[in-house]
Order: sequence, then C-alpha cells, then structure tokens
Amino acid sequence: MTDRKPDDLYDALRNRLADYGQEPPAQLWAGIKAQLPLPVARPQLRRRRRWSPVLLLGLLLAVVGGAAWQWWRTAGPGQSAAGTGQMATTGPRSENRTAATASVPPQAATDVAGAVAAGPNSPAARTSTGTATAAQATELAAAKNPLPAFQKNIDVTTLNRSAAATRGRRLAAVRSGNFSAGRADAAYAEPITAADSDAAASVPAMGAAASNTEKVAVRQETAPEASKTARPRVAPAEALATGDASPALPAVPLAGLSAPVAGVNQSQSLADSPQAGTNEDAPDAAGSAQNTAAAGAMLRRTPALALAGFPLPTAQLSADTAPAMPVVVAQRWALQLLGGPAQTFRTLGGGASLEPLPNRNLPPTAAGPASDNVIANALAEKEKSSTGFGLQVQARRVLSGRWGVSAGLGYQEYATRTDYSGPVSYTTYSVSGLPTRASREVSLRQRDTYRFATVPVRVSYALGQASKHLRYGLRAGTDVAVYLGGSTTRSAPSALKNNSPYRPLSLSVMAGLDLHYRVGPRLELLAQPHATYFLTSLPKPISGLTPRYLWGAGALVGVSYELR
Amino acid sequence: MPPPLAPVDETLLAACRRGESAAQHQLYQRLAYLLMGVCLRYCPSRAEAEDALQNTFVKIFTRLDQYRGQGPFEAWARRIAVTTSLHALEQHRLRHPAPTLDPDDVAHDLASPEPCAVEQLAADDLLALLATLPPGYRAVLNLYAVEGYSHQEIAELLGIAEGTSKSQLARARRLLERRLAAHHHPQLP
Repeated sequence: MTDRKPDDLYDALRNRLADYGQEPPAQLWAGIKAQLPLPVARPQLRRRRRWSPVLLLGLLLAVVGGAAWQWWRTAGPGQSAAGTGQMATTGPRSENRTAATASVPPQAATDVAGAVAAGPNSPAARTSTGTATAAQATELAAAKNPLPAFQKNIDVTTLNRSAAATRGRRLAAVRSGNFSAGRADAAYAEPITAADSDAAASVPAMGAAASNTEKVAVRQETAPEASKTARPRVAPAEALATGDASPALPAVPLAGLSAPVAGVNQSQSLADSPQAGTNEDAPDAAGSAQNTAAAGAMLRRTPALALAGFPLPTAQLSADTAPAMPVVVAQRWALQLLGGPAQTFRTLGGGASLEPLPNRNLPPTAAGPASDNVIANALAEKEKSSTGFGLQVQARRVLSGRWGVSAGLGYQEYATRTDYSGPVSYTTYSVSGLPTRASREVSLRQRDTYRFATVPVRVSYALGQASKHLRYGLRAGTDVAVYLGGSTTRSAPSALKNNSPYRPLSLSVMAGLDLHYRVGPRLELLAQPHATYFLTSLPKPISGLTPRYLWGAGALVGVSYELR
Repeated sequence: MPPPLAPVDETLLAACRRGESAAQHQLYQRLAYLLMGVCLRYCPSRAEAEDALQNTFVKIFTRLDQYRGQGPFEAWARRIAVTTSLHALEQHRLRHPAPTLDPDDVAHDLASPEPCAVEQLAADDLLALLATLPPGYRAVLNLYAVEGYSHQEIAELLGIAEGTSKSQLARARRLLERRLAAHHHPQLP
C-alpha cells in the first residue's frame, strides 16, 4: 500500500462497497456444516494428547519405583545370603543365628564359650557339657534316643581329633578377630543353629544335630576348615573336661562307642571328601551302621549340595569381610524407558531450486493454497534449528552373543525456529505458467513444531569387554512416525482429506551409541546419543510446499529394568 | 439485514476451535452478510459467489488455529474470502476462456463521469456495473480500490507482474468511468 495515491473515484468505490453485503441463501449453512469435521473429534484427540504425558510419567514412576524396590529388597538380604553362602540352605533360623554370632567379637565369643559353659541355653555351654560329661551324655542318649547319642559321640570324637590337630592355629584364628561376617563365620555359626533346632529335648540331641551341621560345613569347606568350625564347641569342652590341651584321653572311649555310626555318617556324607575323614575308625564299624534309627536320623538331616568330583583344596580360607557384590546374571528381557532433548532441523529438498511447484501442476482445488504457500516456501530458507525432545518405552531382548533387539512406542517433537525480518524473494507462476520473480517485506518470529507418535525398532551390538557396571555398544534402527500435528503457518489444499499439508506416515532412520551402567541386580541406567534422519519428505507433494526432511541429534537417557 | 458490527470475541473463536456447532453458526451469522458481498464483487455470478462463500467458511473453521490475533478477525476472514473468490474466478476463467477486451476500444468517445456519479448509484447498481467489467480488471480494481491492496500484493495474489497490475488498474478505471458516464448519460452516442 505504499504506492497508493489519493483518488476520488477509488475512495467513492471504497465508501460504497467496503461494507457492502448481501444475505446468503438459507441452505448455505447446511452445506458448510456438512463439510466441517465432526465436533467431537478434536476434543477427544486433545484430551488424549493431554493425558499421554501423564500416563508416560506414571509409567516412568512405576518402573523406577518398582526397580528401586526390587533392588532394595534383593540388595539387603542378598548380602547376608552371599555371606552365608550355601549354608543358607539350612533354613531361615540359621540366618538369624549367623547374624547373632557374627555380632559377637571373636575374643568375646571365645571367652563366653568357656565362661557360660554351665548355661544350658548357650550353644557353647551345651556342647561343652556334652563333651565334658561324655559318659553321662552317652547314658542319657541311650535312655532317650540312642541315635543322637551315637552321633554326638561321633562328633565329639571327630572334633576332638581335628581340634587337637589344628588347635593352635584355630585359636589364633579365633582370637585374630577375622570371623566377622564372612563365609567362615557362617560355617562357624551354623552348627550351633542346627544343634538348637534338633536338640530341643536333650543334650545328646544337640550333639547329634551338631554332627549333622558340621558335616555340612565339612562338605563345603575342607577338613581343616571343618575342624575350625567345630572349635568353639570343643575348646570349652576340652577346658572343662580334660583341663589341658590333650583331648585324646576322654575321646578314646567315646570313639569306641561311636565308631559304628561314625562309619555310617562318614560313608554317607563324607565319603566323597577324603580330606575330611578325620575319623579313622569309621571303616572298622561300617557293618553296624545299618540300623533304622540311624537311617531315620539321616532322613531328618538337612539336604546338602553334592560335592565336587575332584579333591577340594585344603588351604585355609581367610575370612571375607568385604561386602558381597550382588550376583549379576544377564537377563534376556528388559523394559526400557527413555527420554531426552534433541537439536532438530530439516533439510529442504528440491536441490538448488527451492521454488514451489507451478500451480498448473496441481489440482484446481489445491492451486489456491499452493500459491499461499509460496511465501512459506521462501521463508523456509530462513529457518534455524531448534530444540525438540523425545520419549520412548521399549521392550528389549538380548539375542545370542552381543546382539540385542528392541521395539516399543515413542513420542517425538521436531522443531525449527524462524526469526526473520526483511525482504523475501520468491517465484510465482501466472495462469499461463510463466514464472515471475517477486519480493516482499516479511517480519516473522515463530517456532514451528512437528509432533509424531513413533514405533521405534532398534538393533544393538555390544562392543569391547563389559565391566561389572559399564557396557557400551552401537545402536541403529528405524522409526515409523505418525504425524500427530504441529504448529506451522503453512496452509493446505482443501481437497486434502484431513486438510493437513503433511503426510500422516513417515519413515526415519537412526544410529548412535548405547551405554549401560548397572546400578542394581536388574536396574541399569541408559544413555543413548543418537542422530535421526527422515527418509520421507514431510509435506505432501500436493501441498505445494518444498520437500522437507527432518533430522535431529540428541541424547536419550533413561532406565532399563530386566524382567527375566 | 446486516448483523451488528461488533468485533468477534476470543471466547467465540475458542468455542469454534473446539468444534462447537452453535458457536460456528453464530460466527457464520456474524460474517456471512459481509463476506457474501466480498464474494459477489469478485465472482462472475451469484451461484459461484455462494460456492466461494461456502468454501470461505470451511477454510475459516478448519484453519482457525492459524489465526494468531494479529489484527481484527474480520480482516483475516475477509482476506480468506478474497483469496477464495479469486481462486473461483481463476477456475471460471479456465473453464470459460473469453477474448480479451481492449478498453480503449470500448466507449472511447464517452465523457469521464464525476466521482459523485458513483455515490449517486445504489450499491446493487454499482455492483452490476462492476460486473460488466472484464473479470481480470474487476479483480484488480476491487483489490486496489476496495480492499486497499498495493500493486505488489495484488501481483502476489494474482500471480502477475506488478506492472501488469498497474496497467490493468488503469484500464479498469478508464472502462468504469466510461460505463458510469454511459449510465448517467444514456442519450449520448
């Protein structure tokens, strides 16, 4: 309007016709209404869009909360389970007792064992009594339950011998304070627990149970280790019954009594462990081991794991005082929740010429909007990149070797920014098809967004040697992107069904890195730097818009929870 | 009966964006009278003007999210009516090609009328007089004189050169003056 000059004729025409109007026909509204989309369609879509972030956030919280709870639940008992090792198979009570024993300082434990020998509730006292009054105990056992009496005697004999052999070393080990929370400590405590469980009625029963659990310890450790395990029960007994460091004298008659059953026990539980054969009298009495009472007692024993087929090492294990690491077992399935920003932009198609399509190539109904998009096409060259973001929920499956695949659902927003003020040159086409160059002053400040629902499919390949916590690899895949809408000024031909100038379905490819950091038995933190490129142009050819290939580079971060 | 000239408020537009039929009908009633006049000035016939008006409202309702409140809504709707009518006019010209008239050959010997001659005519008569102009001339004259577009904007809208717009406006003016003179002085040869 810069070239306008005052003119009476034009002013008169404007005065008469600017506000001129006429009543449209009555049926015109019906025709308009028939062409409008259903009124309920938009609110429904909008409500879905509004709830989708809330649902995703809820899902994220549920996964993170569940993973944290699972990690907490497994991390706490997992340490004690690892500390007790296989001894934990004897039952829950053993865990409690193990903890109780572990809490006692070694020196104090040794002292208490001797000091409270008279107390019937003290394991040390009970075993001491069983050893010190071996003859009485044998009689009591014979009167009440012959089998436990035999077992008790066997134990005492065995333990006395092993104790004699390793006494000095064991004492040093006990006093050195190394038995705090490790495997040796668990083995140390276990016989007391088992004895307590089996010996609710009598002292001999305690001895019998102690024999059972001791064998478990022998099977797990080595012969010297078993001797060490028995030490707390034997040492006070030696002190009380013999008064010196030689257990041989009281042990001889007991060994004679216990020899038959000892043979049974050894043949059944220690036969595979020659290093643990501390009872040399066992073969002499093997024939008398076939009594039903002994068989019943064995049936009550706690199942133990089979021994290895090769000789077990005899080196004494040092106490493991370090916190146990959780056992990491690779799971095949994992649920991944990812989200993060991306710097997004577009590549304009059409090569060097960014001119719009001539209107004559478009359907009549599309020609008008296409000409409207001439300015938009010219302004597309002025766009700059902007920040978008993406969210993904994926299920991942580890294939054999280093390969893994994943698929899921996602949401992606691409954005560009136009901040331009100045002349814009463009080409228009007359009805005859001749191009005409034109220019126009434009001032535009706008952020265009394109929102997609995506179906990501990924393949990953692990690189290098994975450490206990960190794994890394490559990741590539494709996204099927459904255009949800956006904020642009470009118009569409009314001939288009949904009146959108953009394709409803697009295809993009991505590639990037895949970093995993394990923070729990099943929980991993993820970081995935990546780049994405659209293989298909977003605008429809009929729209008259310059072809536009979106791309972005960013990083997704999230969590992975292994399912099974 | 023209509706009251009250600006369209944002509440009504928001309801229309939500797809509420009652609000859409209310907006239609407010704008239909004015936009029908716009379409009649550009389209070669009333039937085509009604079609253009229908397409105009469909565009308005389906592109309401593109209206950003920069300027009156009526002006935005009017621009859509103009572009839609021009598109209808273009389609009509493609379907019914007509030989170009040389305005210099038409009534070249008629006297130029006074500007007040326009005001003496009824709006309907003036519109009928404009309808006798060639469609291209009439479009340029309407765009420049009534809508207030510049030649540059007219060139963009019609896909012609700016010089073409100027020359067509000059010829349209000359032709209109002679038609007006003929209307006021029918006895002249």
